[in-house]
Amino acid sequence: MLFNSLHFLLFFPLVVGFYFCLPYRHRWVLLLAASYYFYMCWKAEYLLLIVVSTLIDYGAAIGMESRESRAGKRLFLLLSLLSNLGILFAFKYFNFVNSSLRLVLTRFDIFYDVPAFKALLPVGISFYTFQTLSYSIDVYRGQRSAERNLGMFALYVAFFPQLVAGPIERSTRLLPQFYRRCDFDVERVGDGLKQMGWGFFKKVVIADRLAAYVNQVYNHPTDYAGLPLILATYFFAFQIYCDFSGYSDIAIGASRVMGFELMENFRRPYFAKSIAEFWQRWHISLSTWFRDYLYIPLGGNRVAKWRWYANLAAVFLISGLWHGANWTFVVWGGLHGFYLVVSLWTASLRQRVSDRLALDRIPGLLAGFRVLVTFHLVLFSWIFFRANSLGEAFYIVRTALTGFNLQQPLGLGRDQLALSVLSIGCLLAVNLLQRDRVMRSWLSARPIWIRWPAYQLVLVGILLLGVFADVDFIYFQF
Amino acid sequence: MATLEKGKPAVPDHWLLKLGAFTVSFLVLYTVTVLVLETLEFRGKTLFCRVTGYHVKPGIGGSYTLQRFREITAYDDLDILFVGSSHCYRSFDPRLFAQAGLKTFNIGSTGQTPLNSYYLLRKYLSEVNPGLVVFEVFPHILQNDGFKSFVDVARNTPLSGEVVAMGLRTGNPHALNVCAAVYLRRLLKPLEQERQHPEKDEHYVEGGYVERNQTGNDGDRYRGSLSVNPQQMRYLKKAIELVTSRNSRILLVTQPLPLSTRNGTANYAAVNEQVRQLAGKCGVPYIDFNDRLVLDDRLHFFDWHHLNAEGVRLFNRQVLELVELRHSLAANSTGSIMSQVRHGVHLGKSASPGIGGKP
Repeated sequence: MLFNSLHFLLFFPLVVGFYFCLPYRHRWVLLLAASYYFYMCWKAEYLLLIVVSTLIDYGAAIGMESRESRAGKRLFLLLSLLSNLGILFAFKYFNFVNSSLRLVLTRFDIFYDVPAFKALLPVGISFYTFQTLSYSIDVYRGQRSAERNLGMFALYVAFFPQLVAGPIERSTRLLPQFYRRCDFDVERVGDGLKQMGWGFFKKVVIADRLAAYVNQVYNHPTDYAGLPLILATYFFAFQIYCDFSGYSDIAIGASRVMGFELMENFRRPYFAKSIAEFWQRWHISLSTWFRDYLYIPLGGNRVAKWRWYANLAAVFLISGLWHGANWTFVVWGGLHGFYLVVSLWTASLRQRVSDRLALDRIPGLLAGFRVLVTFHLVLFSWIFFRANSLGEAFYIVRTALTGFNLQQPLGLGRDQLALSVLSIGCLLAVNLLQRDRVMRSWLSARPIWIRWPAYQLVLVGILLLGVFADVDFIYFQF
Repeated sequence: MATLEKGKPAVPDHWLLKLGAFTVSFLVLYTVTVLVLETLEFRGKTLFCRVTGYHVKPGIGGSYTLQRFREITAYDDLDILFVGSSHCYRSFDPRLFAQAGLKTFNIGSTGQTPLNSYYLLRKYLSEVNPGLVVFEVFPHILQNDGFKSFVDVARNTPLSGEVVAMGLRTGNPHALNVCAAVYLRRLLKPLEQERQHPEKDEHYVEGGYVERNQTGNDGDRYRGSLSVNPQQMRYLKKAIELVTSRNSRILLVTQPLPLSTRNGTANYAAVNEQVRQLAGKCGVPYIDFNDRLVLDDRLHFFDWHHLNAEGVRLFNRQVLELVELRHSLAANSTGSIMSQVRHGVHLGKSASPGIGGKP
């Protein structure tokens, strides 16, 4: 079930209605049933994977707690890690590894004929796998106790607003909320609905409109050169941001309506002044997951310099692979690792240049310049993220500038171009107005003649400007 | 209930009242926005069309829908009602059927899918009371959601419950915008005052047919595979049930298509088989005229799927021959339509001599 479908628009109010009618002790049953139904709408059989994952992690955590020795605990942690990552590997990475291996071995004339694993990638498998892994690791580290209520734990794994595309929640944060009594609070429900509304706007008005052109160009890049490739890449930067942050807003808003607080996943990432800052603002739940469960255990920055750089590169390469089993994602992750390492290497040099030119006397200009540079570094990496193959990505990189010609036909109607640029402008204007505060809170403090028309314009915008084709959220595939 | 402070608008206290006030003011804003967008034009296109991509101005486009649905109000007690996509209004010439003494009308429209046909039948069956409904099934149209056809029907016909239901059933929220824009437009300019704009290279023939003489279809080819929308198969079944429940007969047909189109459609036979099975289950006949009539891709079609006037003449002759209309009209036949068609007998309900197809 897609958030931007009629199905969800019927499903959600029904669930919320029943949720508040039920005594709070029994609400988890409804939420679990609704979450399983939500997932089964894609492919019912794959619910089995979630159930298996849930049972293994539930049992492993209790096993860990029952063992006194570190070795005993480690055994159960290994069970959890191997089973979760095993399922993830089988469904997501096996074919990638298999075909890469075949390619390499045939180069050396070695016969290799392991057949491909013919199964659809279960929606959101990377998200719920990482969520359950964090639970097992937290229990192993003693940061939380094992959950004894299987139903509550199953709900933590499958909670429908964030099941298929995050935010990846920590058990220490989400599980206790399921036990908390929560009454119908008009202010909170209203606030949740407003966030959902803005999420829908970003998804159907901006992301899906841009998607049409991006798909047209990126699915047949060799038909284009120059300007269309550049325009499609800019559009993709905003498409993926609006698509994913739109999903997160709907997930966070829907949870808030029911009384649950999910973590913030995006904080105006395209206004970051460095790549490091970009990763503090983009997909925050994943970057903090990698920080806590991979980067810090590897030693983080409290190691020799070369090791620190190697840690960063490793984390970003794995982050790239997390997004998809394709070399394009590996290169994308590698590029971000490279950006970070280079920025650390050159930090003192850049500071000296800045001091020499006295750039800090005009801080606005310097900040703007850094935002632009960071955005364009990220933009360049998106080429590899979106391209269907490395060959196509390199073609785009090669011909985007060399084939540049202002007279070229774009393959995009004037109305569509105007609406696309206008919608991006609208997003940036809101982001600029927003700064570091929450726009909804700012609006809530305004008089009704400002507040209501603003909400209503968002709704009118969704209705009139929305693109209502069944476009999946990009991050579902991860 | 309402807080009234000096200089501030009255805001109801209770959240339900607030919600009501919010909804009402939202509806006002929405209506005003749609009205403004539909009223203002920029370079010959309304802003509504530029923003949503849907034209709600009647009488434009190549299907003569406005003229067709204006004309149908003058018809009743038809022998045959043709329903379907553009292949329908371009493939059944009422003049040829009139020569056989049959009173017919064609309510085909651009991109009309079984979903659209179902709601059109709901609206017009009782008005025109046909003896036989010839339901044209173009395999490629079964992929669509029917929204494009809904827009065409909504802007060119009176806004009825059936039309609104048709739009909602397409599942596209823009159906609401189209209905709102059409309604508001009609307030400013009633449908009766709108004019049908003629199309280049083709002309409208009374009875719903659009004729095109152009030949020489070359270079226009179809390559691909069809993915049937299950909703369209459901509505095809519903349409059959609707017609049979009104004691009319129904015949499903697929008009001749260029050989290159059939060969270029990877699963053409499989999709036709799906239709055949559905027809079999419902106990109604289905004829794919591609099994009976061999036409020339260049001489009898003007593009990769539409017959030209000469193709229509050959096709319609085949239809008339198949059912041996002249003989059957004289005979007061009984038995199922399936056996009648199989044995080449009666299609029409009435055999009023002298019916010339004109109302």
